[in-house]
Amino acid sequence: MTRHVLVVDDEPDMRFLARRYLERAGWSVEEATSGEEALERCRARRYDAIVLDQRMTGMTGIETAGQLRELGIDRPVALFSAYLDPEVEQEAQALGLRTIAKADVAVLVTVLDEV
Amino acid sequence: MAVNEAEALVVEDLGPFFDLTPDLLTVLDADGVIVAMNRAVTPLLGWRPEELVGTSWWELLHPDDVIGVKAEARRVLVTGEPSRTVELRLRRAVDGHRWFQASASPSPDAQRVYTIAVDMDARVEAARFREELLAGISHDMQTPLAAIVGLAEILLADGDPGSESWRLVDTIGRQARSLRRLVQQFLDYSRLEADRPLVLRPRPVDVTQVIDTVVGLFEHTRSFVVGADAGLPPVLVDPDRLEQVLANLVSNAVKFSEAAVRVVARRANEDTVMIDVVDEGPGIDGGEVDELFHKFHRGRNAGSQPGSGLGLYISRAVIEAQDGSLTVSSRPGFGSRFRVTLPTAHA
Repeated sequence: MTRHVLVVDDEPDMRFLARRYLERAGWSVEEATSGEEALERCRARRYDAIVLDQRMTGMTGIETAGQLRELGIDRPVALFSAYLDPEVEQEAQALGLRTIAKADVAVLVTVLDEV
Repeated sequence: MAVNEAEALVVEDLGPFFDLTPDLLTVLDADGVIVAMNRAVTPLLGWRPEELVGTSWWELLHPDDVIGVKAEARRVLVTGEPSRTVELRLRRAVDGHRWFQASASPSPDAQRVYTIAVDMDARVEAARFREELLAGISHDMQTPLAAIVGLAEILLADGDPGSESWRLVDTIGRQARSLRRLVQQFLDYSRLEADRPLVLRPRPVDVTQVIDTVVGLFEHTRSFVVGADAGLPPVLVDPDRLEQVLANLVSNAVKFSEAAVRVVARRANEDTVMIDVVDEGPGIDGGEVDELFHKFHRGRNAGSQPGSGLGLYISRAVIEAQDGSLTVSSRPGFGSRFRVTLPTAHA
């Protein structure tokens, strides 16, 4: 069965990159360009996993994840961050997010396979 | 012109500098009464010089700093030598104090003390600005680099390894990865400078796997001799960080030595595993060994080799933060051995 993932990033090239990696691994990929758009899409349909960039214009990845949880959406979320601060890491852990260093797109596939 | 005349002229010439400098200059009498003070006091502390001349310097000092500064002032007047640099706080016209680094020098007749106080807030501010700038730039470089590295990997996976274009893309990918390591270094550096902890995610790690990965990064440049004790226990370390450190050591070895590089993992004792990176390069003079791990140190043999001088400084910090050690021993003319030790996972 095809698994569906939502990739949320305000950088078109990063969305493209994540899409290429995930499609090669057999995922069906949809994209959102902001946290706000991600919330809308998640209300409309169910994803097997959600990949969030931490630093975006508008809501951050952590903020978006927090709101997803409030909406009762408990799908696994992976958080991309350019540099994993202990502060970001702590907040992510509290929300049960998997964190991935942005420089390491290849890890994304491994992480999502584990969820 | 007589010597005295020349001296008088110099003193006259020096006058304007008194008010030009942004540092706080004060002339005190032997009791600490302010005889003169330059205009820098206004932007620094909010006083006008006239308000303070004739008052006691000791009242301008933070109460907690008086004893230490008085002791130093006594020493200056007794010995006639310039003071050491002391850190002290001076009272602002409106609430609070400001930190300075101050030093003083007595007049030959010990009737006057000349002091200079350099604003520390501005320095701290400048250092913080530098760190934030460095962190910001490095941070912003991560995303484009991730795209280059990632897309190159896709092209390589789809391409024909025998083709010319594959070789070109492979080079782009490797160069981008080495730039990425550099950016990571700057981020680490800015955290270390800001006294913030490094980001570490230790877990039990098979060091031979990490060694294989690192050797794979450099195999196209040099031959390697890799060895490991059988049944080596896992160590407790952040695997990405161990890779970062070993890549740094191996890239140094490759830079400075034409011969094969040896990478050997062995069990040091019950609780410790050690990894040696051994080259047959020019080696390091005894005197230089200590400096090697200082920030911005470039080896004497570095010549035109590229490098930031941060690699070993950060590598040591990364390993020590995980209860390990990074040391070097070297014989000039024969080569160097860098040794990483790490605690085993059960320890």
